[in-house]
Amino acid sequence: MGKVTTSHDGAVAVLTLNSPDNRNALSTDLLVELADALEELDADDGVHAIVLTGGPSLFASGADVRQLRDLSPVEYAASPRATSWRRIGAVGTPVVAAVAGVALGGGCELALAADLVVAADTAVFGQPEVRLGLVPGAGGTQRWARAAGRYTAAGVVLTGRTVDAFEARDLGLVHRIVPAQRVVAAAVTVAGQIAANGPLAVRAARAAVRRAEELPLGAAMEFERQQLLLMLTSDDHVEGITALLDKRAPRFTGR
Amino acid sequence: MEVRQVSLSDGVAGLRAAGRDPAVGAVLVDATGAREIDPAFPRRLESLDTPTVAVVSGDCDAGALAVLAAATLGVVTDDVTVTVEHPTVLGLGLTWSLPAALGAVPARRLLFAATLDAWALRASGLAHDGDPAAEAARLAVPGAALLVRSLRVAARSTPAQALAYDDELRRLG
Repeated sequence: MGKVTTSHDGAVAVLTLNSPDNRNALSTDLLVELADALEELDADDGVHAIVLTGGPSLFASGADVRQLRDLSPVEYAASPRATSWRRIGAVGTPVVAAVAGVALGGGCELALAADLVVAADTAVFGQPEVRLGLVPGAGGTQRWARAAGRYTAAGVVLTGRTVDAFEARDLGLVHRIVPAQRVVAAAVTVAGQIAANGPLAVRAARAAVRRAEELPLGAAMEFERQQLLLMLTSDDHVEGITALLDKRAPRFTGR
Repeated sequence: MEVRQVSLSDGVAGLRAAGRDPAVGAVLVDATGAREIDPAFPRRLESLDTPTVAVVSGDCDAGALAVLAAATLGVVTDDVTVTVEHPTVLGLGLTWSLPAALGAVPARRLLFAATLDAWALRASGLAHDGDPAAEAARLAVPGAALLVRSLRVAARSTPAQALAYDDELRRLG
């Protein structure tokens, strides 16, 4: 059986990391499988939102440290690890991470690569890489800084301290806190709310929100305006506005 | 479901084992003669998903207050005496947990009392005089465990956030 399993709930796909023997350590195999699965779902017009989870016990405990110890810089650069992280980051479908238990190191970076995080009250986030003489390599230093500010990022990344679900929510990283046994179901509910909206609009809005981290404000605002102009050419916006005026639920076609 | 007895000498490991055993419906903590307790003990007690009843008796330091505040329900016997000294108070975070449990003014009455007897502890609301075993047996039901989890989350949430958590929690019951 693969290390990543996929199931579907309407227009929501649920990707589950399934490597319990090593607490969902992000081995190269698992990352490649995850990137493959995400790309496949991203290309599927029937999938409007993705839930990414490790299930109700733990999310992902970090990189497979044994693999990392034996990698030279040249081998790392040439390995599918770095490419997999880039492929994961290039997904255009909204991703909701459902996090229970530990999301540490690469596991935390994976959670922070999602658009929203639904967390169990058992969730623990952190970047302990420096304790191993390493640094985060998949966005840990940058995503913490952009999500929670540079000083919070320094506390997490330089000391290796962990942040619980409540502090993460206060920092703005966590959308909702739910019981661990309900974390996947609650993330599917949130993903379903996203999936019920105009799919073109959701992808465009997501791309624009992501530009907030990548572009200066003027360029990002220009990108946003272009997305609105694009939507004005769509069938979906006509349907959405008509449905509102007719007081009925919209039937989006993604065109 | 069964009631598991855990004493201070069983320590954090005893609490952890009780919390992980699905047959355990409630934990009865015997904190007789609590002195210089491991600060991790009340923290772990507070983090259990199972309801807990703490019973305190004999000569104790302020660690007894930490155990009582961390438990779901606290009981003190008539012979209890708690000596309150600032190193224990500060070492166990009582200036945070007691006002959170009792309110600021009642907490100050305990923290500045020097010594506390059973009457003072019961009057504060931190403990009462019930039968601890009977209390623990009463709490050893799934519904009580859900309330314990709800209360812990609510303490760190806004009303709307707490309600949203409870909406999901109810689906487990």
